[in-house]
Formats: sequence, structure tokens, C-alpha cells
Amino acid sequence: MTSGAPLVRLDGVTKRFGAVAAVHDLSLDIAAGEFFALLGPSGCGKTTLMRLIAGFEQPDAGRVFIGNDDVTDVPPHKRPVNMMFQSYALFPHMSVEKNIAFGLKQEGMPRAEISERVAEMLRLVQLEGLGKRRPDQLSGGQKQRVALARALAKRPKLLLLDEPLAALDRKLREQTQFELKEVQRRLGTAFVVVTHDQEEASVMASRIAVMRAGKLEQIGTPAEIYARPASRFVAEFFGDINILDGDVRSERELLIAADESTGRSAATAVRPERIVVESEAAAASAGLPAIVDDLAFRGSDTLYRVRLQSGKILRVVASNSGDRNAFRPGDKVRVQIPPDACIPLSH
Amino acid sequence: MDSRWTARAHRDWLVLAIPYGWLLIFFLAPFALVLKISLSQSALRQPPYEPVFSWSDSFQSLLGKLSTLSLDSFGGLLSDSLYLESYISSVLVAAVSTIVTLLVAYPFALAIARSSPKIRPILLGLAIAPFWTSFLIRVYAWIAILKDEGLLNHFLLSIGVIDAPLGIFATNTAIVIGIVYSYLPFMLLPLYAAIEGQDPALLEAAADLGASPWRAFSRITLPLSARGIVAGSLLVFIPAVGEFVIPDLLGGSDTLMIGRTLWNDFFLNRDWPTASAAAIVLLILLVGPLLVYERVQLREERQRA
Amino acid sequence: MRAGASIARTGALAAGFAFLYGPILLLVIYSFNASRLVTVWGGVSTRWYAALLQDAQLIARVRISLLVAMFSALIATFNGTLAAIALVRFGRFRTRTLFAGAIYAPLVMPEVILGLSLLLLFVALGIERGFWTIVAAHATFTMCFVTVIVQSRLVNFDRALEEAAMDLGAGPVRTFTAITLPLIRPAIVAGFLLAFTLSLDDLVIASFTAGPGSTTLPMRVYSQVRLGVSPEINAISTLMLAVVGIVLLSVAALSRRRAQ
Repeated sequence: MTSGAPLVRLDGVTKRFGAVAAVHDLSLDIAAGEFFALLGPSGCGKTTLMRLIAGFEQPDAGRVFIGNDDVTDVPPHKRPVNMMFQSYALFPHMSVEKNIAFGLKQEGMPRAEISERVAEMLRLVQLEGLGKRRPDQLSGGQKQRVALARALAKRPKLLLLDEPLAALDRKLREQTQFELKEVQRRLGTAFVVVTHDQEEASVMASRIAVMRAGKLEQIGTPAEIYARPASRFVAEFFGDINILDGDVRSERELLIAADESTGRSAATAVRPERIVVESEAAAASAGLPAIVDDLAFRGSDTLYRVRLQSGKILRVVASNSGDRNAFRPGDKVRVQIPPDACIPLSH
Repeated sequence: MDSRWTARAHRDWLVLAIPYGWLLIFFLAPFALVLKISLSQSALRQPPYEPVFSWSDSFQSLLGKLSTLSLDSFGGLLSDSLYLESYISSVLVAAVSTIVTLLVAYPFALAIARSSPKIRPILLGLAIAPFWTSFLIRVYAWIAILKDEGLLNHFLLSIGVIDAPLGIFATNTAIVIGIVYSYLPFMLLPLYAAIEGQDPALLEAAADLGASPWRAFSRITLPLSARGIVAGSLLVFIPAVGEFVIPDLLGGSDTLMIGRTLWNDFFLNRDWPTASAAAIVLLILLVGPLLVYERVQLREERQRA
Repeated sequence: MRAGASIARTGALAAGFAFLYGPILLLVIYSFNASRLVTVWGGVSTRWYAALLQDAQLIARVRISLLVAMFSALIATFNGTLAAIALVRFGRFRTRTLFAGAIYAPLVMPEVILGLSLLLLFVALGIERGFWTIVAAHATFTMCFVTVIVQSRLVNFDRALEEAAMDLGAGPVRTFTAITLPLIRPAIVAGFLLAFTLSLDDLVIASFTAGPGSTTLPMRVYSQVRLGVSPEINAISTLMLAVVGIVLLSVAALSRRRAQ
């Protein structure tokens, strides 16, 4: 947990572009040494928030604190924060070494120390031997490592990462996710990742802030957010979900069968892997009748679209562990929801 | 907030002030001066004479009598058929030249744009290279070619195609040739950019849908290059109207173009107010198409946004 | 159909290049003509070039033209680059339209008007026309060309690079000199070369703003051309072409090498 004062504190920060508020009265704490994620769909304000922390935007209201200092009026080149840009922004006219050394030169570090630090960084990101190359001679993955090394060279207290995995293909993405975690753990620097990919955020971050339309929807650990989404938006954005409407009779039946109390709430969320589906025969009249509409075989599990008598389609995920026969479109089945799978949503 | 803002503001101000200041002194002020003089009384038409100090003498007296503005000079322009004819002639010659330049440049631009990507920049460079050499020299080259005793006539006479010199020199035709030759790069570049920027898949789609190459060209390539055509045409037409060197070297005593008339009025007749008024009118003539172009561009951009 | 298109293309290219380079080639060839007349070929001779080298006045004109071009191009590049920065980075400011108009007007204004207005200015201020008046005039009318070139490069400039530099601790001025400037340098150099060439080549504006002792090469060539065609002018022209050709080739070779 967080001990002592937070590393970064945003206090009632608002930023407007024209008539639109990209960030609205937002308050947030980020602890030293933690891996934090700003998650949300495009346009939610997460990038603006990141730039507010870095200093590239100035808030129209509210204050920004880093450590104990009010940095609201401090320009970016004077803040102890560094950023890894989405496009990497490597200086094309400088070698890899010069790129990494750039920030150190601005500090006035002696040349011998700079070379040492650059070598250390190259080792950290596993790019030893490529120091003399130019950015246009590097692959995408290599460029990213240089960008990372350059941003970490000054040993900042906080590193901002702008959609770090967006440009990578799937295999590379997974590998990089773990490498970033490893680097963060080793250095103890606070990392703040900005992403629209919920899976990315869940893998890397220990705490996530879900944003929408300039406001915070929920902050918590990935498991917390997954199991207890605070709103309909978070439930839908974070992982796959079914939303059941308590006003519709068949859905209410399903819910009441699960849990008396939840039947009363306006909307209830249920994760697809929690719904129990059995064949007509095996169910023995327990649960609601339904028909399998369609399915998508996904390797380790299968996503079924199951249609209730009311016409509502439920998304159900069943793992393909091999001990049961898979359903086919048209099969008659019965669906049940265990009581603890119901997540009441207030809005 | 304050310290950061003022440092930046000072720096920005300086970046703007230096070029702005220069332009104020060397462009805007002279321009205002021309305007002022064109509005002065016609009674001040005393021809100043050669030595430098007398230019300023007459100028001082000019300024002294500027108490009353008068449109006499402008009126004089209208009644003086020389100027009127010069304007009309200039616009006509420039228009014809622009069209000819377009006809010459388009196939050329098309050919370069359709060449293999590797040699395209080389071809383009070669096409633009003459532009870097002296304008004067290139116009002069045409004198040697077009004169009655020049290379073209000599060649055609010697192979028996004609019996007498073509007499192109010192006519509007020679001026048109000169303008086309000199301004070709101005038309070529925008055309090339417009054609080259088109997605090659468009032509493939057209062929796939059954269009012949000519159809594909006239229905797709040509319309899409409209912007380039307009830009190139303006870049040729507007300076061509006010051209001086080409009409002077390739034209004759009966070819009237406004640039030359202005020059003569200024240097030979020493008639400042009239020349200034003529300059203002010429500018208005030219600014018109430009403003229209700007307006159209803005509208297009707004539609796109 | 493909082959036909290819033939048409080659034909268009050949015709175009013949049109462009034909007159220039003729110029060069006839500069070696021993005979004075264009229609008579008197054999190859370099006598006209020899005559040029002995023409002290001509050489003085060349010197003046080169110096005027150098100084005016430097001023124009400096002003033009600053103007480009102001136009691209400063967003909207009061009288921006006037500023932009003043910068771009020389692109389309006839040179006689530009020359005329500057002459009036110098006379009004009592400034004697001479070397520096030409420099000022050329710097003014070539400035817009520099601005256009630098501006197009700046517009496409990746701002993230500057933000990255600032993020790493470089202040605004440092960022400009270490990152922005090196990357827009090719455009600035191109602008300089263009301004230099335009100044070297200018006749009209120089005529209006030159003083008695500072005649430029184009002015001299022009006065001679009015008297008629002569091989000496061919010789001057060929030399000028050669100089420009060498400069262009070396620029092309340099950019080739840098690309590798």
C-alpha cells in the first residue's frame, strides 16, 4: 500500500480545450514506486491528464504536486518526471547513445559519468552494442527500448508511458509487458501507463484508474475492478460482461433465482464465465430455458451466445477442458447464475 | 505563472518583431507611399532629371503639395488609351500564355509522375534545373532563335519549309513563347504534386470497372488534379501580367504590356503619379483572383473539417 | 496498351526536355562560334571567353552581383526563417493577416511595382541609392521564398521531438538549437540557395534600386542585349550556366551521400 505522502497528487484539476473539459475536477494520488495505469476509451482525458503531470499542459483549475512541491507552474523541462512517447520521438539526427545521453547532458553531468550511465541503460534494455546506430537503423521494438532507456537515464521519480504497446504485434506485446514490469520492479521508479487496452493495464499495473469523459469512474486493483465494477460503464469497458435489466421479467426471474436481493436493482452485471449452462437433459429443469444461438471457438474456451425465451442474448464463456461435450447452435439448454456472480450496478 | 509567461512572451515577440519590422520598413511603408503618390495632384507632373539629388527635390515638392488628395492620376489612366490598352493586352497575353503553359506542362507532368519511382526525383530535378539559371539568359536565348535572322528561321528556310522569315520576333507570339518557357516550372510543380499524390489504385479501380485509359484519365486523373491546375495557373498568370523583361526583349514597339509601360513611364517619361496610379490599379487587378482563390480554399478546408 | 502508354510517356518526356534544354544548348554551342553572326558557323573558338576575362568592368559587375546575392540571401534567410516560425508556431495574433500578406505578396507582385515602391522609399528618406539599397531590396523580395520553404518543413515537423527534448530537461532555447534547428537545416539551406539565385538573377528590382557605382551583372547583360545578339553574351551566359550547374550537381551529390 502507499506509505507516507503520495509521489504525485492532482488536486481538483480541470483542463478545457475550447468549450470542452478534457479533464474535469479530477483528484488523484499516485504513490512512489507503484505501477499505475490510466485506462479509458479514446477521448476520456487520460492523455491530457498525463500531459498535465508532465507539464505540457497547464490546468485551468486545480494544482499539481510532485513530491512536496507544487509544480503547477513549473515548465516540463524542470519537472522530475520523464515520459516515453507513443511515437518514441527518438531524435533522428543523433545516435542511440546520444539520444540516451541527451537528458544527462542537460543536467551538466560530466562526460565520464554520462558514458557509464548510458552503458548501464543499454544493458538494462538489452541493447548493448547498438549504441552507435541511428534510429532509422533500428526495428520498432528496438526503438521502443531506446525510448525507454532515454526516459529512464535520468533516474526520474516518475516515468509516464504513453500507450507503450500500441505499435507492437501481439507476441512482442506480451513479452514487453513482462519486461516493463521487470524493469519497474528493479528500479523502483513509479510507472504511470496510459492505455485504452484493459488487458494491458491489468497485466502490468498494480492499481488502475478508469476514466471516462474527463472524470474518474473507479480506482482499484485489477481484481477489484473486475469483480466489483462501480458502474455500468466500467463493467462494460473492463472485460466481457452481461448486463441484466431487473425490469424485464425473464431476466428478473433469472436474477431472483440467483439472489433475492439483486432482483430489485435496476441493472445487474454478470461475467460470462460465471454463468452456468447445461444441456436440457443434464439440467433437470433447474435454471431458465434457452437456445444456443451461435458460438466462437477461442482455443482454451468457447464463447456462446445463448438466447433466452424473451429474446435477450447472454454471452457465456465455458472452458474447453474436455470433460463435457461442447454445445452446437440450436441446442436447447438451461442457464443459471450463482448468487455471488451478481454485481449490482447503481448507474 | 507570470515569470514563465513573460520570458516566453519576450522571446516570441522578438521572433515576430524582427521580420515584421523589416517588412514594415521595406514593404509596407513603400507600398503606402505608392498609394499616396498615386492620389496626388496631377499638376505635379514635373519631370525630374537624372542626377540623384533632383529626384529628391521633386519628391519634396511632391510631398509638400500632398495636402489635397486627388484622383486625377487615376482619371488620367482611364482617359489615356495607352494604359487601357496595356492592361487589356497584358491580361490577354498572360491568359493565353497560361493556357499554353498548361497544355505544355500537363503531359510533361503526367509523364514524370507515371515514371518509375526511382527516376522520378531525377526527372523532376532536371525539369526544374533550368529555373536556377538566369532568367535573363533564357529569354535572351529565344531572341537568337526567334529573330528574323535567327536560328529557327534559318533552319526552316534552309530545309525549304518556308520562303520568308516567320516574323515571330517582336510580336505577342514571341512574348507568349517567352512566358511559357520561363514560367514552365511554376506550372509543372503544382501539376506534378497533384497528379503524383493520387492513389494509383484509383486508376486500377477504373480499369476494373471497364473504363478505357482515356476515360480513366479524363474522368479521374484530370478532375482530381484540378487543384494543381488552379494553383499552377495562378502562379503563371499573376506574375505574367506584370512581366517586364520578356515583353521588353521579345516584344516590339506595338506590343503593349503593362510592366513595360510602367517602366517607361517611370524611367523615360519620369511621370511618377501616373506610374504609381497604374501600379495600384495593376495590383487591384491581380489581387482580385487571389482573394477569390483564398476564399475558395478556406471554404474547402472548412467543409473538410 | 501498356506499351503504347509507355511510348507516349517517353515522347512527352523527350519533347518536354528538348523544349527546356534546347535553347540553353544552342546558347552554349554558339558561345564557341568563331563568327559573330548567329547564322554563320565560323568554327570553334574561345575568343569570346578570352575577351570576357579581359573585361575588367564586367568582372567588377560579377563581383558586385555575388556580394549583393550573399548579403541579401543571408538577411533574407534570417528574416524568412523567423517569419516562418512566427507563422507556424504562433497561432493567431493580431494583424497576422497583414503580416502574412506582407510576406507572401512579393511572390505574386510584379517586380516593377516592388522596385518602384522601394525607389520611392529611398528617395523619400533621402537615402542615396547604392550597394546596400540593392541588398535591402533583394532581401525583401526573396524573403518570402525562404519563408515558404522553411514553413512547409516546419508544418511537418514532429512536435513530439521537441516535447521529448523538454521532457529530458532542455529549455525552450536549447530545444530549438539542439533539436529543431538541425532538423530544419536542409530547408534553411535550400531557402538560402534560392534567395541567392534569385538575387543573382534579378534585373528589374536592381535597376530601380541600384546606384551609379553599383551595377549588377544582369543590368550589364540587359543593356548589352538591347543592342542585339552577340556571342559575348553567349559566353557570359555559358559561364553562368556552368557555375549554377556545378552548384546544383554538388548539392545533389551531397544530399545523395547524406541519404546513404
